[in-house]
Amino acid sequence: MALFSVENLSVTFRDRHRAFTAVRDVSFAVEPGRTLAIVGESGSGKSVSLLASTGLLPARATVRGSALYRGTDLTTLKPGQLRAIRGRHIGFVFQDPLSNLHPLKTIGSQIAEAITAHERVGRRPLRRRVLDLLGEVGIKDPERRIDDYPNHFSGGMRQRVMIAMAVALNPGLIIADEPTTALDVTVQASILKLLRRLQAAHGTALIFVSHDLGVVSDIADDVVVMRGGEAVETAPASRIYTAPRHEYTRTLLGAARHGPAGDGVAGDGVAGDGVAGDEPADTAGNGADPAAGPAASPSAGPAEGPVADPGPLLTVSAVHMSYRRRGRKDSFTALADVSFDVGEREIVGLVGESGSGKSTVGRIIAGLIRPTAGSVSLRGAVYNEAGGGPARLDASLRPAIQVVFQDPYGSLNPRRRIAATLAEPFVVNTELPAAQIRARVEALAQRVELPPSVLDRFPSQLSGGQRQRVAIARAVALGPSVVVADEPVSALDITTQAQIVALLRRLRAELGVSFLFISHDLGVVADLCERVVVLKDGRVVEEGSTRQVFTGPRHPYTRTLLASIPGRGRLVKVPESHAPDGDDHPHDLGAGPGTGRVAHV
Amino acid sequence: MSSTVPPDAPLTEPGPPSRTASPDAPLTGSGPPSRIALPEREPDGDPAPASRRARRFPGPVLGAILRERSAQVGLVLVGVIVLSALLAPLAAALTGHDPNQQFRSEALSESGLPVGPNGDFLLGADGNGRDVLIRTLYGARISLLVGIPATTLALVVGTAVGLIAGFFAGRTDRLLSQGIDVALSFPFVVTALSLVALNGGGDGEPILNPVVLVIIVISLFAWTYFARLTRGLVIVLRNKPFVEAALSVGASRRRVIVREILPNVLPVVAVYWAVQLPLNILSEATLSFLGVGVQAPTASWGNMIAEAQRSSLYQVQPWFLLGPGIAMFITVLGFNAISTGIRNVLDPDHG
Amino acid sequence: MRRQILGHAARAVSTLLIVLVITFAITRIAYRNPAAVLAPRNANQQTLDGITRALRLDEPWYLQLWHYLYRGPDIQGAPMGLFNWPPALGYSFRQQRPVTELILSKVPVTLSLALGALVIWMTLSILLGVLAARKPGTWVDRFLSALSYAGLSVPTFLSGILLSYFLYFKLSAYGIRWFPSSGYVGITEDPVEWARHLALPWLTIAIAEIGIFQRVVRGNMLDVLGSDYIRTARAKGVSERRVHFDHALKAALNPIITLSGLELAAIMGGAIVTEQIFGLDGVGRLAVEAAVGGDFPVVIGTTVLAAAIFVISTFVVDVITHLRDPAGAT
Repeated sequence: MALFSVENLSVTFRDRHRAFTAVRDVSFAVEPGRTLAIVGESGSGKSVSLLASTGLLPARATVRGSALYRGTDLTTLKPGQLRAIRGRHIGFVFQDPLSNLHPLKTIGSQIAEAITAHERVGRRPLRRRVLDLLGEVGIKDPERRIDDYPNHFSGGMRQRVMIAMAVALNPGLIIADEPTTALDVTVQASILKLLRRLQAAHGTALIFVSHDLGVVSDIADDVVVMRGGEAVETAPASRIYTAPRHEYTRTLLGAARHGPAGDGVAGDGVAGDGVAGDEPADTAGNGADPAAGPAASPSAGPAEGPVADPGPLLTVSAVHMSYRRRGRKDSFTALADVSFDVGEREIVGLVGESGSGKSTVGRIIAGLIRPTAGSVSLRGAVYNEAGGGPARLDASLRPAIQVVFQDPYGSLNPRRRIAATLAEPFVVNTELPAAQIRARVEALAQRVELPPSVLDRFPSQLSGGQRQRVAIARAVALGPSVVVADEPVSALDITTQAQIVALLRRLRAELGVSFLFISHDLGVVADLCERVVVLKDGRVVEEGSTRQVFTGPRHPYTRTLLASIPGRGRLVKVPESHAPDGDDHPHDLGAGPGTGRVAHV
Repeated sequence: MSSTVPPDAPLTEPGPPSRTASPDAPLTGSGPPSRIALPEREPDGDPAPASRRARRFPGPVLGAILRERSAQVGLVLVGVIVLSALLAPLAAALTGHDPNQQFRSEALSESGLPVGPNGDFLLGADGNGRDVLIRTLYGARISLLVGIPATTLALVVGTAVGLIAGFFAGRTDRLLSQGIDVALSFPFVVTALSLVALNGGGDGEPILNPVVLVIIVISLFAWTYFARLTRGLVIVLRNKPFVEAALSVGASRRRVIVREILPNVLPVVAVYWAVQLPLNILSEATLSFLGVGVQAPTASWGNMIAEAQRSSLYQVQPWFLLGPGIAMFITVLGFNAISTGIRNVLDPDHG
Repeated sequence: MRRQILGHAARAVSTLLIVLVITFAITRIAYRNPAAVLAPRNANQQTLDGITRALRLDEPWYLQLWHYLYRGPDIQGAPMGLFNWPPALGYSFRQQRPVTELILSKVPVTLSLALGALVIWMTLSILLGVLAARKPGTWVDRFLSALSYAGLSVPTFLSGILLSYFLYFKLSAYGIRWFPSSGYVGITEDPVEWARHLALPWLTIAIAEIGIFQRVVRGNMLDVLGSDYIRTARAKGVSERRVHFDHALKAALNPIITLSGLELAAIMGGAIVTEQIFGLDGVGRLAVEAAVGGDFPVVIGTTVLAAAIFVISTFVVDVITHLRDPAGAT
């Protein structure tokens, strides 16, 4: 008999005006000691179904169906009875360990509470048990750390604390809701390892919720794929990855392979319709209609001409950045001696984990801040270097260097219509009459595949992907030479990610713009970029063509990063070769019109 | 100096804040470079659309406010008060009772005590034989005439200071914040008294109309709340990607303040106007109660209540106290209800 | 932290100095013939000349200010300035007493009033606020909300009068003399009488403050109750009571402490209306009488005192909240 099974579960949220069904008739089960993965994009109802079955949803939700734990239907229990089950029989690990730990309580007391909520334990034995737990989840020097507050811990350590709380009473089942999503890849790998180890040691069943088929591929015995509140496919992991039946599962798999259709994963039954509704991707340029749209603006000139060894477009040389710390004498070095360059029409990936300084590099290139030392130059002309005064790009350079930010919610003014946001570059930099500006704005929208109706809406009425398209449109409005894209897809769902990546690739081909693509996601970088710069603790540890870095990493850190990509064995194909060989001719991508297929019509 | 006030903006602040309960954002601007946060994925399945907080203003919001129950109650109450203020002269003409006219023979008993409510004097009379109802109606005029301009003036000044302090940071911010600190440190009533004395001029004739003076005195204190609110909002907004994006397409700083930041600040500030208004109406009444606001014989609820208390005549003629008291209560309650209603609509989580 | 404290203290001191200078300017401008205003009634020319000399009124204003700050008027050979030891805030010629001494004699009344009211309103607000937050939207919540609105919408001068009418006049009319209508008895003399005399003033202030605080507590509680770490506590099987009173209240308290510090400072600076209605001889009344009568050394003194209390209490609140939450995590 299953340890925990959910049968025909439906969850409906109501407020005064409407009802919304988040989960519809979902069933799944997990056996003792096994791992069930529930996979779906945001809004698919994967977390809600688990919270609902354990009574952790707010009162306004109505739950139908049953959730059996060792034969007891949890949905029929009184709150007090449910409380006795939570923590003792079912442990929880949630996504963001910072927001899930009480900020004003020591981690020791929070772990202890997981025990005292169900057992009477004396003070000394309690402390002993907490120390043992901290040791078991791999917190070094537990004696010293037990009385620290959560904010003294790194993200990975906090998640270990969460796990210690979950396993404190050795429950039969652990529900882990996106436990590694907020973490860096290397940390993610270690947390997954810890979960596997604890599971093996205690024979605990695990339900692992994730948006990423890749992450769960190494640990899942069974997989449930959810979409729009329904379970679309339930199967053993061995079959899901080799012979997915539902089209949506194939889509997710395609996205997780980081190779949009036709690129690398072709031939194993996923090709063709891999990424729903998106153009076949090809790194070679389109260029069929180089003059398309008024957005190909005056300053794009150099990108149009023949490329006879133009030299690097953008050069970052020996950039150094340090900040004075509040209340301290010493300073914090964010960047040390960072040098690299970006060629014409090149997409360069800047990779690093959180705190590596990659966004700081982006901001310096964008001219938003000044470096403490070193300089950045465009076509040989220095435009941002150490010195006094607030950073501000020279007016003539401004259109040439643009930015796309990560957060699609923050990057658009919530109180301005999309048309106004897109008109801004023209209003500020040109003397065009309103009607012409409107025409350009419409052409821009078309270029990034936004329906014209979007223009008269406010950002809140757009999806995350649409917002990011608007941000990209704004960045390319004035025909820039280089666009700094700071984690432009990492806040998006996996299928949307693939579409935005394809858009960037097409824009490069059509407009001849170069991208500095800042990301923590090696999969996306492998897929999009010709060259990769790896940043660690503010230093460039490796730089080279994508193929070279991915197949023959030289620096140990790069090797660790690559080894940490989840589901590497089952999913990721190392890029074989990018259309034109990035090693030999990094700068002549898509140079001539008509070299590529017409990728998108 | 770190934050001395709760870092929540009024939209997230529950309950109407008191005079000193000003919202503010952390006074620390941008710290060291933010470590790059890994993508925050939305917890899936949250049925609340992400757009709830970012509803547009004023379009559909206005309709939603008009449908909100607490706002409806407030609008009715405030409507009554506004009507009273407008119709006060009509009532005076109908009864033939001028607000400052004393009817010693009709309205005072032989021992000099005021009469209670009767057909002629609906709410009775005060110690000087004046019609309490008519004076209460005229009092509404003073309340609104002082409260609304004072709050609006405070909004304009405070928002401007907050915008500048928040956007330019650094030395400008320190200077303006120090100014806000100073204004907040002054005790309201005592300073108001000194300022009224200052208005005395050489020959005892007031330099400024006392009503104008009261407006200025109140806004002299109330602007700080708008300034701190705006400053806090601007500090957050200034570091938003959309502001940096506007700067990087070449918009000037003035354009960024006016086009990008102000439209995001104004709706919040407008809500705060509704929150501050009843407080400022109370301030006027308090000053008048203490004898430094609107001067007798002009009718103000504050000085009417003061008179009722001083003479203890409310014990024989309760309406002497209850008339202005209830009017005051209705006004403040009405505006509080409206501001709560607006907040409920803009920020439904705090219903 | 130490740097923060130092910076904060420096800013506090400069705030106080600016307040002092502004007040000084206002009062000197406000009274055209200060010597005549300051002197006791029926003072002769000799006294007026003495005052003029003591305050250096015949010198330019900046010298007067410097003199006021640095040395102060010499009264029987003792300087009454801020930068002497003991520091003093000048001398009231009207009352023939040093200002510092006058203020200090009133502080116990105001302090008793403020702290007593604080205890009452904080206790009730937290209890009622948590109660309302436990079941938002129920009739309990709505009733408490209505109550809070009423408290908020009644000015203290009205609620004070009504309280004294019903709980003093009406009760005494039935022979029940629980509360005296006015006056003050020191806590050291008779603690019971002290409380009896202050009960109505406390209530008057508490009613208005509960109107604000109860809602703030409720709102903060609701905010916190919606946060992830509360769900974590529930996921551990922690009881609802602990979730509310330990986890949620602990996190919800910081903004409430901040707010109460500011309110307390405002009351200490002069709960003028309450003192007036209940005939309490506190700092607020001293200040108002001085301002009305033109006793400007006392006006400056009380204003600076109020500003100092405000500055100090924001400082203390800052330190408390910092100690509770060193990283600003909430």
